[in-house]
Amino acid sequence: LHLATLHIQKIPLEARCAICQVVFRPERFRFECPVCGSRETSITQGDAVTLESVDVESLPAGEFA
Amino acid sequence: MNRVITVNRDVSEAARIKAGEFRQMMARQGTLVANLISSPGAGKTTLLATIARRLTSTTRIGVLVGDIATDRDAQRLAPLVPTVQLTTGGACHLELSLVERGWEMLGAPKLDFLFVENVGNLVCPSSHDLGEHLRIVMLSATEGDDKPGKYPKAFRTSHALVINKLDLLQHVPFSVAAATADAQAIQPHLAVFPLSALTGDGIEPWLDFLVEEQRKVTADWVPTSYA
Repeated sequence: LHLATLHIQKIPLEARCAICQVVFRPERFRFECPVCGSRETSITQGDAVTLESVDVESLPAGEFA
Repeated sequence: MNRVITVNRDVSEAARIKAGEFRQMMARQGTLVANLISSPGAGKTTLLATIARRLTSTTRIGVLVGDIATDRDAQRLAPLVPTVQLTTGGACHLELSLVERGWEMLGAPKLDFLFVENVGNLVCPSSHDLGEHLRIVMLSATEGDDKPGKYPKAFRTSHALVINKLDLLQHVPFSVAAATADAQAIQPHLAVFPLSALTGDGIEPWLDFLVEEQRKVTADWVPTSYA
């Protein structure tokens, strides 16, 4: 495991305005629509950690068959 | 040989499902679970003591208090309300498994309110769903009114903000309006309750809010998540 490398792809935080539907990137946790000024927003991406895939080498035969 | 195993799963999925199940189970029996988050010394235990004194005659309350070490908080609260101390042994936050164990140690009772006092910390507790219906973040006047912006996630993910130690306002440079504006810029839905847990000043609207929120928690209850 000590030879393993971790590849992290950062997904920027994005939110959608509930009033005008514009998608924007909140700065410093200020969830305010840059277009209409509404604070009715919801996060669309960037607040989760997803394990996408594991790349393994030299598997013993049949281990993950 | 080289192969790619596609996983494509949210790492917190299992924890989220478990928390949802606990939340639903407690809602079905009419128990509002409240997760109280603040920095050390903001007044969580004092607030719970005040709530217990005021509400135990009309409602069934249980309290779980989280700390890294000691049972000092439980000793303070136990004379007032059934309390179980949860000690994390070093961890800076509570997790659902500890809350479930604590509730069982209380005797798995049917309650109106299960208050969970998290470990004093404005950072890590905000990332852990304890199966609560209500997340309460607490800020006291002595901490300064600039804290919401510095610890945004605790405020972003909470439903209510208690601003405590109003009795000290005359001695410290703290603006309730500034703290409220800073917090609501992060979470516009935050219900804000400035009060003094020590003197009881401002406590009535807060107790009314708790009782009203408890009424909403029924079998068909739908969570509001600001995560």
